[in-house]
Amino acid sequence: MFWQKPKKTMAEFKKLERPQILKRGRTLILDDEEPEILEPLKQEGLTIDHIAETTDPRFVFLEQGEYDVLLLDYGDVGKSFGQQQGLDVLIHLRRIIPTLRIVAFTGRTFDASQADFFRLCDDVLRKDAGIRESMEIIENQLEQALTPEIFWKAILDSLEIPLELSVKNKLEKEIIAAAEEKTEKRERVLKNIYKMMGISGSLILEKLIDKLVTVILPEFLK
Amino acid sequence: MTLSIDEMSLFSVLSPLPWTNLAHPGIPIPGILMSTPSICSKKFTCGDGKCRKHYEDLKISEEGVVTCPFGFGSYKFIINDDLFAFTGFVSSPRSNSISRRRGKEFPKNRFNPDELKQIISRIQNIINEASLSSQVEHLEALHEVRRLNQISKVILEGLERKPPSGDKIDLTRALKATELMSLHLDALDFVANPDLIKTRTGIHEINFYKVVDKICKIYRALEKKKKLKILLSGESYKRIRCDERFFHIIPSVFVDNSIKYAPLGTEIHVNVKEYSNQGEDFVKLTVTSQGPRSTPEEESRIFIKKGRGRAAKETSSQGAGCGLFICSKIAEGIGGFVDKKQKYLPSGLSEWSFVFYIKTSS
Repeated sequence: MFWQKPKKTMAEFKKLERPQILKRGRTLILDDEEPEILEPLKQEGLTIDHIAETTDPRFVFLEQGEYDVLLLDYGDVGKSFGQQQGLDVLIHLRRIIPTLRIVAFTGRTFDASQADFFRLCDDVLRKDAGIRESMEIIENQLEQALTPEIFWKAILDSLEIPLELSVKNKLEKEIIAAAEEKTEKRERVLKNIYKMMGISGSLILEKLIDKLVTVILPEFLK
Repeated sequence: MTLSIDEMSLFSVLSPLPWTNLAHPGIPIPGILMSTPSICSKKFTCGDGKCRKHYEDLKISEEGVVTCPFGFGSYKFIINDDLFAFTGFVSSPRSNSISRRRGKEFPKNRFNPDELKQIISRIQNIINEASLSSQVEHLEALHEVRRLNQISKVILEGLERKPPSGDKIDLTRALKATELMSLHLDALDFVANPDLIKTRTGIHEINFYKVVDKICKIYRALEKKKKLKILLSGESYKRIRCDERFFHIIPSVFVDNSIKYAPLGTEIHVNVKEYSNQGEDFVKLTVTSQGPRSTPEEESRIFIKKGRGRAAKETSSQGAGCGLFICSKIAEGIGGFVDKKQKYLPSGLSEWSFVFYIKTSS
């Protein structure tokens, strides 16, 4: 029987295969007009939704970390967030979901604030990109979003106090072990981890650990 | 490109001295600093045709300054493609003796050609800037063009997967046309906001040769029309780090210009080569083709905005004269360099080589 050495650090997990990326990845488009590529991208196997404004109930799912990649338009979205619209939405999401990959999805490029918008995004998708080009960019972003290392880094960055190396290593092993446990045991292990980190009540961290343990790591441990 | 109506109005507001358009000379229009000398109005309308003859002489003169029959110096200059003349307050070789003769009628303050060159250069810059701002407004419309281009791409890519039976459609050519459209729109984005290149977002490791190969394939859709041949040679597996959307524009402009200016039935040579210099690895693109001859002065301003030479304008009316300027700015933004070389041919044409080189990342 083939025996695989158990992995002890997040860095040991590499990237998911394409079918797993397509199965697990969730993409959202926030654009005031429905893009022509939406249906073709669904037909290509992507799980992708479109919302026209931040008032759409699905924006809450985005804030809760349900999506891995966001294609974000600059103009005429997120008016309730401020005058800079797309840029204000971007700043808000960067703060609450550190693992979300945000792709600038805009064709209007004519002022300094938009330069800031581009600077804060992970990549750019032209408004006139075809199916192939769009798939390439979205898959690349999903591949990066669905890695344990990204989540682990976000967890550590979200902690107000840096952990000692021994505590960090222990925590890393505990999280990997939690993902290996059966679902009913997982809850218990998760509670122990939260206790160990002293973070119960920090919604962002809880969400990050929960997604890492229940969604991301199990894909690699199959 | 001649000045638009708005640009012409802007010029007339900015001109410090009396001026006239040499395409259809008239009584000089007052400048904001100096009004038109009264003698100009009198003499122009008297009907002896001396003033018109003076402007005709000035138009074909190789000197920048020509003295009119009444002793005033007129200075010829170009803004975009339009020929103008400042008159009345220009120093000219005969002005001193005439000023003594004409006394009060002759303006005391006079500008020499060097001062005027600086003034014209500033006016040209202001007009270019203003013209760019109005282009920005057009970008809103371009947003819509991008949307339509996306619809075309989606439909064509769909057809590519499930080709319709019956009549053959040249899908490859149609898809290449949509790619060309994207390239032009990207160039316009860059013109509107050159700072975008500094944002560092969208930077990828890209295979230099692959991009050049792709551009050649896209432009092969156009070579048939002029019976041209685009020949790609050399190879490289080296990668460069840059914003792909903008880098594409450089080989695209080089090949596009070659197609625009090359005579029928000639070849366009595209070469990619790796080399080392002082321990650093570089990759170089050279696009060589025949094209109209440029004077050394025209050649020196080839990478400047609207720097097209006279022969180039006569060969092709297409283009805004911005392509090579954009290339030089993009090269600067991504840490590369552009260069050019002209070799005069016995046919009266020139062999042009446009070069782009950049340090590799692998």
